[in-house]
Amino acid sequence: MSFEYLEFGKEEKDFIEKIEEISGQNVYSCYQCGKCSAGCAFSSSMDMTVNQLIHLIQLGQKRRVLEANTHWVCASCLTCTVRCPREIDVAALMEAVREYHLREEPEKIIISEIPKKAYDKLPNIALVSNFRKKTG
Amino acid sequence: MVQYSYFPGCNLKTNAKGFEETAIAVSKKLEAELVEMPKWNCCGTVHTMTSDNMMRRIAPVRVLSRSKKHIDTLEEGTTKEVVTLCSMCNSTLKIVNHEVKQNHEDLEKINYQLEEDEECYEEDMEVKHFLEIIRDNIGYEKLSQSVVKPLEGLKISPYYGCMLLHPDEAAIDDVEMPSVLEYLVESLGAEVIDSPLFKFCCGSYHIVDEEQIVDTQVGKIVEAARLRGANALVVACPLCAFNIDHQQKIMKDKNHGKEPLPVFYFTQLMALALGVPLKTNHFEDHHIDPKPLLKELGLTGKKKS
Amino acid sequence: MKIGVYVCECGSNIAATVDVEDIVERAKEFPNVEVSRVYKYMCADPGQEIIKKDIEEKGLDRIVIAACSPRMHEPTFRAVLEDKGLNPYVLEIVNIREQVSWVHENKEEGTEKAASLLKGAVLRIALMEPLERKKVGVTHKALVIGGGIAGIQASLDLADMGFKTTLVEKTSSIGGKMAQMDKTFPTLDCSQCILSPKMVDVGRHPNIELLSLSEVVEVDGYVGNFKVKIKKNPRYVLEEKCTLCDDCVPVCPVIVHDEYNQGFAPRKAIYIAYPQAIPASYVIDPDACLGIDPLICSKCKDVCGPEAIDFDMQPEIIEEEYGAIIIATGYETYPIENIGEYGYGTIPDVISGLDFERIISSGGPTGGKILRPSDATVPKTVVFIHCAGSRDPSKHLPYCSKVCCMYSTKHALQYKHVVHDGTAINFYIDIRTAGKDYEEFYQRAAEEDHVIYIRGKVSEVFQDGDKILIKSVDTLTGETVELHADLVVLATGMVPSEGTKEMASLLNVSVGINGFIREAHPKLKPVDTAIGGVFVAGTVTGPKDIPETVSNASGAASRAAGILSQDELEIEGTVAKVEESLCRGCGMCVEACPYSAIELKAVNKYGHTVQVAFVNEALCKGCGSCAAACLNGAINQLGYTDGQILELISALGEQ
Repeated sequence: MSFEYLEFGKEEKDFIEKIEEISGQNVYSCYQCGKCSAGCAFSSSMDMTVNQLIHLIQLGQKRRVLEANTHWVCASCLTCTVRCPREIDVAALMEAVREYHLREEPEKIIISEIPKKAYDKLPNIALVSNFRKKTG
Repeated sequence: MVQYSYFPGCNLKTNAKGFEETAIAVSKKLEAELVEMPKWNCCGTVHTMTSDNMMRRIAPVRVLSRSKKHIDTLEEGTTKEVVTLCSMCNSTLKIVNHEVKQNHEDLEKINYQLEEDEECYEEDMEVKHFLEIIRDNIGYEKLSQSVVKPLEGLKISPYYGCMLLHPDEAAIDDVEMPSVLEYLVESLGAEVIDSPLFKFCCGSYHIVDEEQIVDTQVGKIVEAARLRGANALVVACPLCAFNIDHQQKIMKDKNHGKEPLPVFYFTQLMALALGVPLKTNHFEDHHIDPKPLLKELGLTGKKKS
Repeated sequence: MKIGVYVCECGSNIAATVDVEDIVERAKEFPNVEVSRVYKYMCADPGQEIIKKDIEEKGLDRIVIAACSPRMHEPTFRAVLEDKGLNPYVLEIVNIREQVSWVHENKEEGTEKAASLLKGAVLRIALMEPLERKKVGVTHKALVIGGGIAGIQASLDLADMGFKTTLVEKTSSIGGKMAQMDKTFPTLDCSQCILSPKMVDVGRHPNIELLSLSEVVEVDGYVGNFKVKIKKNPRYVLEEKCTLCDDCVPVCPVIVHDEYNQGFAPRKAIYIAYPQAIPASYVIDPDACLGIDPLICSKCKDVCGPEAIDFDMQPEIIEEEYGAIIIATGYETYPIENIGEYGYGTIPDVISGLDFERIISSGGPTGGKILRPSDATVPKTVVFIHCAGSRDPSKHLPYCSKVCCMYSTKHALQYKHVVHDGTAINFYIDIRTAGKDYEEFYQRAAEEDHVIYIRGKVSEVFQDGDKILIKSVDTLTGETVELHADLVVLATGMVPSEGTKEMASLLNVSVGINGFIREAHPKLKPVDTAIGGVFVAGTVTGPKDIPETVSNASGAASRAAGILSQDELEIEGTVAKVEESLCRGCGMCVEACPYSAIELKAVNKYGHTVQVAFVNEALCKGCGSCAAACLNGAINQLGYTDGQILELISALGEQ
């Protein structure tokens, strides 16, 4: 159990607005039913569930949202998006958090560090999609 | 014979040659020929879900525009459809097509960028996956009538992956209860083994730098199919195919895992059943060789007895 | 005598735990039993036909049915007997479902118990005499107690149906709590705007007599024939003369807190509750007024042009007869000062939901500006604490007050509509939106107005400088959270209104464990009480929202009309009967009767005037308390005579 002091100032509101702008989604639509996390194929690898991440976005908790691995583990399979009862494109919210990060720090993956043989082995769509998701 | 403008996408020329060659071969047999469009470019693989990134929408729109021009040159092309095999390409093209049809301002911006390529998209194309063509235009009846060698003994678990069914705008079938692969497999005389993990994500691009995530996913997907009695999986996506195929091999080598299940593209199964020469399958590109299974079931052309 | 015994399987409800074939066989050996049968569903038409056929062919004159509770199908089977010319009271229903099969697991034990209950019934019915149902007349006039929206609606419905109706309201105006509210969820209709037309209708309806400042003090009688005493307190202003000119108010020297505005505004000792009040007349608050003794002050009287003020008015007692009574005395808000950790009453900027209604109301003390009480500034962060008192069986109210999720959502949304850049945060346990368009309203508050919802109950709040520190938890992240608020609104729960208990005891209706009046049946008789002719409407039976209250009131009016529209009512034959020759006039039965149905009357016995007990059969519910209390065995409960009960006990004592 940790502790947070909540504030609802400019920084919080700006963060919420930016995420909403990038994703085109209304984060307040989420009523925290958790169906996104329940159906997520990667929940077990996430340090915070998808709905928890959205909840923290609702509260404008930028630092904690960006520290989570949730949006990086998300592989955009869109199961959450097609099942969300509130018609939220949940995967787009995850993408928006990635983008928010990448627009400040563009390299989540250092391409030059990928071993040469990986290029020979891996399908091009794996590489292209990875770079598109993890670099700005 | 109907001709379709066919957009291959990158992988069909590299890892997934067997997918493309079998698809073109069976399309001819079914009188619905896939004709490769000229000057195609990468669709971008993953569709951007940001609302403000126009750059990433240019490539797929260029494909749509060029496909339109290609259709005008086809002798027997009658439809305004661009056909894909790769489900990632299909999903990306479908979503962008949907988006620009909804948002004319965005399309104007994109078309402005396409001016230097002398392209202009006029919202007049539909994107189809080859599975949709088989279901809606060719029909399962014609498909099963074309079968020369029923795939008896193959117990196939259809694995749709994510992008054939997600998001709603790109789904080729019922999002939660699809049947197109099931009907196809049945039409070819094989047995369908339904698995609850038919669209449980394979881990996708995490294969590049988070291999263990993919291993977990693939382990679950294959085990679910195996438990229900499948002896092979069928897919429609080169990345799903690679992940499931390659990682099963890695895991078996690493931890003496269970006997892996071979992975087929749906067009490879069609080719086998329709009597297309075996080499078009490019089974040498597979990491788990399907030939021993096919041989055991007497499906490789050379009779078992 | 020929007794027919019929055992019902009730599908497997009974047959699974009672060997029905066995008890049918045993019943054949009981005295006077002519026929004994089993059937899958006795209550179904074919089951009823079996009984009818036997009565006809075998000449049965007593019927025993072993099935479910007589509360379910006694009327069904009585009709079967009447159809074949038998008295409906020569029927005995043995409850082998609720009292046997549903409470036993062991089939052997269940069968034994069913068999002895059945035997008792056979022995008892042999002593049963045919009984008569008596008839009483009906007064075609209704009494509605309480002038909130429930009482208003019930009165209007009855009056529109043509029944004379008296509406009794304790305060100076009808309208109740709804008149204090600003807007109503989920439509955001202005509460006054939808309420006041109904209030005006009450005021001028020819069939409604409105008694404000009045209370019911005594109720006698029975269904169709209630005798009621109403105390009408003085208004000190003649309603018909008062022109609402307001000349009296400026001259009145006494200033007190205005209840209508939850104490946030002042009023004078002479005042009108609010501009739309009905009766439309000023009133003098006798506790505050100096001039009830006119020697001290008579300033208002001096300026009153129409001479409407009369300091000499006295309380009067009105006696009237009614055929039916509807209780609509409503609710109060839970005294949230009891929740010490929330600081109501000690922290000025912690207010109740009803306080917030007044603060946000354009007719309220701030003219609709949202200003916090301590320093009249606009709060930038408002925290709404749900379940303030509700769902807390350990210290406060065990139940959910049903409307608070919705009104807190409404408050948060209203706040955001006024203070666009403000932050509204709801701390909730669960969001309950079970009403038409309620879920959509809640989602709209979040989606369009960015009201924040945090799942977790606030533990405590305290003053921290000019802000209030909230100590709470976010159960969705599993973290404790703290934040500073400028204003805290407690979603206060509902409790029965003051005097509900007294009202219940005046009318002999029972109250439940939480103090709300108990309905006759929570599902199938939600507006009836156990007392014939007495009905309930609105929150007097438990928390309700406005639409539910209004439909409840219309239901009660319709049930009351069912009685008022009759010329005569039949009353049950199973009443107490006094054997005068044995009665010694001791009066113990009078004490024992919970329905005041017995009184002592002087009679001439062998030339002497003696007191004997007399039963008013219309009032008697047949409960048997008097028969049990009578030391001389002078009272018999018809249908349950001592002889019958003894036979029953002897059968149960066998084995």
